[in-house]
Amino acid sequence: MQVIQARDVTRRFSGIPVLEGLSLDVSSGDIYGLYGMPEAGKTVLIKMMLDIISRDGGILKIFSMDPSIHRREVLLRTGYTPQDPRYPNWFTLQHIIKLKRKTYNRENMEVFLRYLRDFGLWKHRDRRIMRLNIMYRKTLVFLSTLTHDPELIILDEVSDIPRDIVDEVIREFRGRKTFFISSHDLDKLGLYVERIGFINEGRIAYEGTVNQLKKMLSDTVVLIKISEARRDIWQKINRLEGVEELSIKDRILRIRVTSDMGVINNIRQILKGHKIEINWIKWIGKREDDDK
Amino acid sequence: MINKDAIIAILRSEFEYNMHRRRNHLMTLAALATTLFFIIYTYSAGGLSEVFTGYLYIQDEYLWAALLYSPALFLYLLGIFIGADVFPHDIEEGYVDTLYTLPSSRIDLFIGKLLGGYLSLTVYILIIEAIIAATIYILLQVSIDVIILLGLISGFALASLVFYTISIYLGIRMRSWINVTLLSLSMLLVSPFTEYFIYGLGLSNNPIIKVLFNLLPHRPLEMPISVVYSLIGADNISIGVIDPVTGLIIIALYTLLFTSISASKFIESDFI
Repeated sequence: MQVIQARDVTRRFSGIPVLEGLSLDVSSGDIYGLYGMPEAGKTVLIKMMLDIISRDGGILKIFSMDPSIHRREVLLRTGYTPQDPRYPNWFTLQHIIKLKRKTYNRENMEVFLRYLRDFGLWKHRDRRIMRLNIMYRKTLVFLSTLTHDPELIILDEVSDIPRDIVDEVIREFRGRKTFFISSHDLDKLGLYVERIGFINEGRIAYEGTVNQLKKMLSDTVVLIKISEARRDIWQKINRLEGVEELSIKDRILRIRVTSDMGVINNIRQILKGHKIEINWIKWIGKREDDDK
Repeated sequence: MINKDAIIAILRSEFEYNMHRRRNHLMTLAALATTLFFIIYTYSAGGLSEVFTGYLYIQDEYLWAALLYSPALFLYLLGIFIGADVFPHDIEEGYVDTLYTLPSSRIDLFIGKLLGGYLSLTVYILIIEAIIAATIYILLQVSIDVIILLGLISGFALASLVFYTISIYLGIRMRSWINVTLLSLSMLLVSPFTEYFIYGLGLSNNPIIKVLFNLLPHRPLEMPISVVYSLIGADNISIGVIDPVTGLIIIALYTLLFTSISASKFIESDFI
C-alpha cells in the first residue's frame, strides 16, 4: 500500500520555485529518508503533507487521500515531529499529552511511558517544554507522537535527536509503521534509512541507497546564494577541508566539494557566525560550466 | 463535518494562551487603574456626579451604571489586542507546526481559535467590570442592579465583537500582531472623526446619511450604554446614542461579514 504518493508537486513562493515537479512514492513499512541542502524544500514538502502549506500543482496523497481535503483523517494517522517544535511558554509534556488525548481517538501511553523511563526522560515531564534545550524538547515531542499510535511517523530533521532513541523506535516499529525522515546531514540520515531521496532544485534528483548517493555527491559542484559577499569569509571557507575551487559571482558562491557533503554544514556555520543569510543552496553535480 | 472534541481542545488552548498573555494582563491593569483612579479622584474632589451624569446624560441614581461604562475604550482595545493576536501569534511564535497539526479540519481550527479568543475577551470584560462594580459598591454604598450590570457586560461582550472580528480578519491577512493592532486602532479613531466630519458638512439631517452613520464601526460600540438607557427607562436615547436593536443588528452584520470572510481566507491560507 502506498502511504505517500507525490506526482509533479509544484510550489512557488513570491514567484521563486521551491518545488518543481517533485515526485516520490513511499510504501507502507518503508523507512524513507529525504536528504537535501538547507532550503531545498524538504520542510515545505512535509508541511504540504500535513496541509500546513498548499501546493500550486501536482498530486499529493497520504494514505491515498488528499491532505488538503481529508486533513483530519490524514493527521489522525500521522505522527509529526517538527524541525523546531514550539509550544506556549507554560506547556509541559503533561499539557501536550492532555491536548493529544482530547484530539486523537486512540491512545497508547504504555509505549511512550516506557521510552521516557528507559531513556531517563521521565524527570522532564513536569518541566516547561520551552525551557528544555532543542535536543530534549524534540526528543520528547518525537516520543509523544507514539501516544496516538500513528501509522506514519514524519520526523523533520533527525540530527537533533539522540541516535539510540531513534534506533530503538525504528527497531521496535520496523515493518509496522512507515517512517519519513528528513535531514540535511547525510551521515546521520544514513544511520537510519533504507531508501533515500535527494531533493535538489525542487525535485527528487536521485533515489536509491545512501552509499550510492554519497558516491554521487563526492567531488561535485555546489552553488550557494548568500545575502552579502565578503572576502574575509571566502578565505575561511577556502581553508575548510574538502573545499576546492571557490569562486564568487553575483553573491553566488561556487564551490567544488571533494569530500562528503558534511562540509556544507561547516560552511553554513561560518556564514551564520558572520550573520550572512543563505538564500539557497544548489547541487549542480559535476557540471563544470554551469553556474546559473 | 465539524468535530466537537477538536474544536473544544483548540478553544481551550487558545483561551489558556490568552489568559497567560502578558500584554492582555497589562491592558486589563491599565483599564482598571485608569478607571479606578478617575473614579476615586473625582469622588474625593466631589465632582463625580457632575462629570459622569453630565457626560452620559444619565440620572443621578444610576451614576454607578455610568461609572461601569467608563472603561469602554479599554475593553474595545482589549478586543482589538486579542483579535489581532489570535492567528498571527501562532505563526510569529512557531506554534503552527505543533497546534495546527492536531487532527482537525481547517474549519474546526478556525472555530476553536475564534471562540477561544472571544471567550477570553469575555472573561477579561467580566473581571474588569466585576472589580469596578465592587469598588463602586464599597465607595458609594449604592446597591447595584444585577440586571443592569449583566446587561452592560453582555453589551460590552457583544459590541467588542465588531473590532474583534475585524482584527481577526486583518490578522489572517497580515500575519503581524502589531500591524493589525495599529490598523484596527486607526479605524477606531478614524470612524468617529468621519461622523463629525459629515456633521460638519451639514449632512446629518439627510435620512440616508443617518442610516449610513450607524454602519460606521464605532457606532455599535455605544450599544452597552443604550442597553442601560433602555433598562432604566431613560428617554434620552435620541441624543445620538444608537438604540439597542439597531446596535445588535449592526453588530450581527459586522460579525457575520468578517467571520465569514475570515473563515474563507483561513481555509485557503498557508500557515507560514
